[in-house]
Amino acid sequence: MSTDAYDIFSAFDFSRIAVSLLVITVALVLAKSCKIFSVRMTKAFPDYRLRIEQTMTVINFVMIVGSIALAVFLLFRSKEAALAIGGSIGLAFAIGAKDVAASLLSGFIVMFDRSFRVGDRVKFADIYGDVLSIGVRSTRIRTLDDSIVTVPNSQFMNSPVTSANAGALDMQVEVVLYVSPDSDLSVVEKLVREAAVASRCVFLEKPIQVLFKDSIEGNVFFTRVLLKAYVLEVIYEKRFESEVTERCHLAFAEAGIQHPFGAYTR
Amino acid sequence: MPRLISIMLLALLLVAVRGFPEAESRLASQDLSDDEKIVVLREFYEGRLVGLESLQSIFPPSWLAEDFRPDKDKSILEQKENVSSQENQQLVDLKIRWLHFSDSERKGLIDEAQSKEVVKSTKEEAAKTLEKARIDARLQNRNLQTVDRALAASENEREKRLLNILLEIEKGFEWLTDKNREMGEVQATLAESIAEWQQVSREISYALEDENFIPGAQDFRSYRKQLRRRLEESNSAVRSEERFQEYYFKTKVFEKPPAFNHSVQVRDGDTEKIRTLVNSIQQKRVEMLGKLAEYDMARHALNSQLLGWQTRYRREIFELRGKLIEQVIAESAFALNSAEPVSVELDSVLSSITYYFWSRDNVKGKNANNKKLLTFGLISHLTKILALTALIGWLFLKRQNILKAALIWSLKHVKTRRSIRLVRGLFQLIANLYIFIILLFLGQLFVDFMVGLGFTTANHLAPVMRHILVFFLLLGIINFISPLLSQREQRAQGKLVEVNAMETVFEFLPKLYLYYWLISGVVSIVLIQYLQENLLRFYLVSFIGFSFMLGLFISIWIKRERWRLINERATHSDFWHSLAERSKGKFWEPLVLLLGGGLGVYRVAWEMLLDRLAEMEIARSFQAMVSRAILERQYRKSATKLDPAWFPEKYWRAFNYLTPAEPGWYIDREDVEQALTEAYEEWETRKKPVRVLICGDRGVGKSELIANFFRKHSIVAQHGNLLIGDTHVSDVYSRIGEALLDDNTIKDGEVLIQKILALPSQVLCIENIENSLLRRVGGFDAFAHILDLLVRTSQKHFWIVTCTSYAWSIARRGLVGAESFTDSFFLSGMAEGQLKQMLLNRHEDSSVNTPDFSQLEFGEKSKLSRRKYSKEQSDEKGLDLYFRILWDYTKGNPRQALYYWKASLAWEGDLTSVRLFEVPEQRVLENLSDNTLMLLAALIEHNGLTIDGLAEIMNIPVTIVRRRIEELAPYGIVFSTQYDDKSGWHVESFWTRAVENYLEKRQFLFRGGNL
Repeated sequence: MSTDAYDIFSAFDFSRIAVSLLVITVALVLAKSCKIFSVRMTKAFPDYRLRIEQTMTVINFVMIVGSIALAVFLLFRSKEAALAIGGSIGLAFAIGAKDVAASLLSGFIVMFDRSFRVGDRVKFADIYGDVLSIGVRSTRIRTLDDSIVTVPNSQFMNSPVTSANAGALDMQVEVVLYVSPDSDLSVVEKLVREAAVASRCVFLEKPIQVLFKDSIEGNVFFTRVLLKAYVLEVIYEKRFESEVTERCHLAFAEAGIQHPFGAYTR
Repeated sequence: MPRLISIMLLALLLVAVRGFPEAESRLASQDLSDDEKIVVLREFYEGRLVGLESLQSIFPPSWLAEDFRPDKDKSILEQKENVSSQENQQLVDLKIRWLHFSDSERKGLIDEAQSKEVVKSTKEEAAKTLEKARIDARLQNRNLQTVDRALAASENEREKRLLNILLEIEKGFEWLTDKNREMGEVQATLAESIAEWQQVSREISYALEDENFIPGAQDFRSYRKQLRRRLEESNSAVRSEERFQEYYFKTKVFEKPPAFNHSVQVRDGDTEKIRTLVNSIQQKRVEMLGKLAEYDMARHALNSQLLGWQTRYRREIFELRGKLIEQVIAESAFALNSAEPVSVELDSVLSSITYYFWSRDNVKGKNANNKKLLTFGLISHLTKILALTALIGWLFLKRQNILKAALIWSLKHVKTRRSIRLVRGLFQLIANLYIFIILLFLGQLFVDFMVGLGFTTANHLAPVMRHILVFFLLLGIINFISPLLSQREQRAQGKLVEVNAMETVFEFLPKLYLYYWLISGVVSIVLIQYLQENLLRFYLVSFIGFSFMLGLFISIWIKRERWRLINERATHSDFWHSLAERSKGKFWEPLVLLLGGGLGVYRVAWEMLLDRLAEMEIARSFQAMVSRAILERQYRKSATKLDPAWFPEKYWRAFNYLTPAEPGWYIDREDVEQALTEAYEEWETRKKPVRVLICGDRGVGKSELIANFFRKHSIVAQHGNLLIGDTHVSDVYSRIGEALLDDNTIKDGEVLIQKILALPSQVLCIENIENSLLRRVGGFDAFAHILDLLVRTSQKHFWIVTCTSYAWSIARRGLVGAESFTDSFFLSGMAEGQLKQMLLNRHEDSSVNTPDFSQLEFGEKSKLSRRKYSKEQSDEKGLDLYFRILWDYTKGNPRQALYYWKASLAWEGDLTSVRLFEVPEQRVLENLSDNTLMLLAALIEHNGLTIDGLAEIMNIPVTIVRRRIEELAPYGIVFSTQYDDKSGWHVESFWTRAVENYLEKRQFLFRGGNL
């Protein structure tokens, strides 16, 4: 072994490996405990569910990254050696595994830039769903068909991400209905509004709007009814759409409101 | 590619390793062998090393730095370990010894080595100068003799005159040589002075570290005398430039060299000898000018060196003397040995000031050209200073307007009452801390600009400014806190004189102390800057403290009547009162009044602060939560389901929410009552249409409020209630018709409106309009018709309607134009005191038993409380605690409070014990599915819905409704009177509060928002 190589290894203190491993283990146990604790807290304080989850995500992120850095740092004999060799290894790592390094950095940016947060309903490329977790390397999104999609954090740096609720529990939903243009629109508005309020998923602290627009598609002239309302949580988005559509169909049929392509039926 | 990366990585690692400071020092240390290093270190530690150059090849550079911290710098310790494995053990031990020295020891050794170097170089310089002067003198002597001889032998007049000029020049050279020798001697003296002083200062420094070195010791006194003598000598030397010159050069002024204005030229007809003489004179003149310039530079350099040394010498004298005096003060020995003349210190201040000015001029004189170079900078700084001064002045003069404008702007951006209160409080604080804030942001800037202008003494102002800054901070805090702890409200019934006296004294003592702190602090800072620790400062600060104390006593004596009043009110001790009585008119009365009244005021303020904190909602809620947790562990929980048989009949009736409250039980809701009265008076006087909506939780007291309003204003109103299930338009018309017109056959809205309009103008009231509402498509019609009826008939009648908050939040979103009321009031829960009064009033009227709260007291059982209470105090505390818990849990809702009060009682003959009521566990609700919680929300919104009704509202099949009811029933959350499909379902009273709280948190229920 050459002297230079010996110098490199002499910068490490391998007797501290056990301590480093202990640091990482403790951090992992703490992270797991935080997760369990946060689940319990979200049940006890449901109105702070998102904040608790978001805070715990940040704590876990910092804890894991910090524990790994500390574990590596402990292996070095001196601060200078840690900085110099750590920096060199970091540079080599960044060159050799640039995608992973980019994801790590992106994870950090996503976490603190808060472009989206845990619990948000996001649209990214073809993926539409709820953010389950923002990890060190990747973000997990549950799509509406209950699939878990893992997206490397670096992907979020170059493409736009749409967050429907931006950290809030509630989220705006748009429901589109079509009626014949000769319908009594005041009746339509009343029925659509009542259908929205009747849904248990609607968030009543924010306004409900019913908008109309006449349109032509092909040879069909119709009035497009757009309901804008907020749901309690992002998970109720589709349920709300479905409930409102169902109630409106029934109500339109009873009130004699015509569909552009024929009558509404019960 | 991987190979390339690995090579790069290795290269980077090598670069990194080679970049270590340790490696650098190893390379550098190759200049000296290990044995040489050992010798150098030993010399260094024994104080014999000259200069630090040789150390730089032994220690890393950081080890000799001023801020070197071996204990805190981990890398140094690592280096210690690394070093031990590779170097000579003896050398390693010597190196590690350096790390074990204290900071002062390290500094002392470094200073000593550096001083030795200075002494050495100065001595060498002096020796060189003297040697040169000696050689020059010999040469000049020879030259003079030669010229003298030539002059004696010359017979030519022109030659004689030229030889005289040459003689004069040679004498000039002689003068220069004398001066150079003089400089050499001064340098030698300087070197000796430095060496001597180093020895003395080292001796005193070591003595100071000796614990046996005490002020009374012989050495101590001799050192003080020696330092004083040196200081006097230095003061005398630096008093003026002349004295300084005289001190070192034995002449009062900086002597200028002789002028040589003779012009000699070669003339026609001059002999060769004359020509040679003229050329010689010219050469000598050129030589003389060069030597004069050299002398001038050398003299200035020496002057600077002397000034630098004198400055350092004075500083070190002050430091050492300061340490001695510090020890004298610390040992209180000043009382025994205060012979140190303060006049020396006054003289030192004066000398330091004059020395600063003339020595600064001396330096400026050399760099006079700098003035021109700095002109633009000076103008720029001057402009900045003017602008800054104007800004500070403007900020100060316009502070009222600035704060007012900022307050108005801030208030525009806040809406809630709490935020408004918070903003006002914040601005109050800012107003009190205004000067502090200005100084904090602009003070240092001002000092910096002044320094930039050349007034470096402004730097001395910085510590004074920081002191003043803290003064204004503390003053602002006192001014801010004083009104908060004012006893004006508490003693409203008392004499105003007493309150004024307390407020005055409350501010007086801290402010007095603060002013003392300011003045003594400024004096200390200024004097310490010039003299380090000194007796003058000590005597002055003591004098200032004594003056303030005397002033305080005189003030108390002059205003003794006021202080006596405070003393009487603020102390509760008989002994103290008798002492105060005995001290009346005596010279020591101010002391008694100061201790009794002065400190008593703070005791009163502290108690009041605690009371105020206890009255804060958050503090009360927290206390209730903690108390409840403690009590739940201590006591058995009472039963959940209430049975009328447990209570006396009269008592059960009185505490049933369906029983109309007797007038004596009513608790005023001042805000809403006043608003309602104003609306009524408006309608009565102006006949303006008025439709009042009173919104609030179920059981919060809407009906009682209206009944009291009618009673208070003797109003005979037509009054009706919508019942559960009145959700069809015809049912609503029928119910209203029956209530207002005594006709339940009216099914048509137009007919009803006409008949109501036909009634004489009066007050009409319909309660519980939430019963007309169903949260489904088409469920808003009845509600909409009621609103239409109200709008069309309010031209003639004064309308009051009531609605629950949950129903109102649904209506305002589901019905366009629901907010058609002219006046809307939200009735919130009762305050803690009101709730307590309401329950105790009912209890007194319904039972002869006194409620016993002793089971709830914390007295001796609680380990949390350190204070011991009597039985009465314990009962009172238990009572207060119980009602705090009840108020916190029910949020002041009287109907729920009535229920939980009943649940807390245990009847045992003549005794009515009050225990802690049981509350449902939230965990049960947490484990329910969202759909079941939605069904519960529907039941809260529409009390008494049937299974079919629920299915319709929820838009789910009946079977699923039944299944969810089954899920809730085992916990007793819901109940039905008949348990068939036609009877309605309700939420059990025991569960209502818990369910509402949880559903609000989950946002399945909404409380109506802002009205």
